[in-house]
Amino acid sequence: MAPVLQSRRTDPHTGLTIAIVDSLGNLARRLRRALGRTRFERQLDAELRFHVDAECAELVQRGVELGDARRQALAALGGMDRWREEARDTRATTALETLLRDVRLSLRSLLRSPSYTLPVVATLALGIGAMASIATLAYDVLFRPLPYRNPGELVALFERNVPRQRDRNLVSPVAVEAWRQRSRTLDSVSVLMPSSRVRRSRYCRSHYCHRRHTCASIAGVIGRAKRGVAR
Amino acid sequence: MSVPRADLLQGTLDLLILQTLREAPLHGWGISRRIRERSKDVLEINQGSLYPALYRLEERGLIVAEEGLSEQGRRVKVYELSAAGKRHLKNEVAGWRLFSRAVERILTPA
Repeated sequence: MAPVLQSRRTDPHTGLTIAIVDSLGNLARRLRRALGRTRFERQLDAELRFHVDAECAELVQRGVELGDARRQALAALGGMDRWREEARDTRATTALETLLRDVRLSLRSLLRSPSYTLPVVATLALGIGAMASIATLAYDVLFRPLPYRNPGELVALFERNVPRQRDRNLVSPVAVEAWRQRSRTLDSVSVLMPSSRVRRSRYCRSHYCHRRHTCASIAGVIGRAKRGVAR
Repeated sequence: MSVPRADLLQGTLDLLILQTLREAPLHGWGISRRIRERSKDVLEINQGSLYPALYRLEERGLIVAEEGLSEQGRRVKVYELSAAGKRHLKNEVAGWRLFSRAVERILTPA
């Protein structure tokens, strides 16, 4: 029997890129099928009819009467509908089709009852908006690394005034100089002064920003002092 | 037809389809007929499982389907082995040979 083929697809090369291209092509094919379902059905039916006709013709050639041949051919296929379902289910597109159908149905029923849809959408919008702002805030306050080089190596030193029972003393320049010279763990030491004595820049708008920027300006003043900041 | 028929072992249908397509691209009916011929009528593919198998193989990218023409000039889906299918077939054939040799050794009295 001579197989007939009108068109051929060129063989892909091997390798990773082809695998990606393959899977992309796969996805495209599935989408195409999900959207162009009727085309697939048509092809399926045509394929089936061809099979039955061909089988029937061969049986007739062997001397079977036409009506019997047709019955036998159909029986051999096990009833068209049964395996047609099976062939459809075999395709992985079925899940995608179901999903698309579900989405369409949901959209339609939502549009039909705006008195339900609007509050739901509003609630979701508010909730999502609130979550987004909280997340942004939490990230800025809690998680975002300080805008310095090696922020993990920054330490803050405080001087405690024991006689006056003060947790934070204003450190004298002499003490800072002593820390700077004698410390073996700190690369460099810088001082953070009360804000009134620090030159304000255009970045200092809020208190929060202001404090951060004071540090940054100190780091700038010290040059590449990125390790130790005393206050 | 009084030739004794053998049932297809589970999983061998894919192997037979791939091997048949390795020789030449064929449509569904052609595949079933070719397998029957090649096995000298011993193997009869249950035609109800042929097409689901073809779609499964196509879904896995082992074969590709193209519009083609039959001998009678009808438009039919013609299946062809893909590069991945060729690789897969090679492995499957090796596995099958290993399996059948082992079974044969067990069946042969020592």
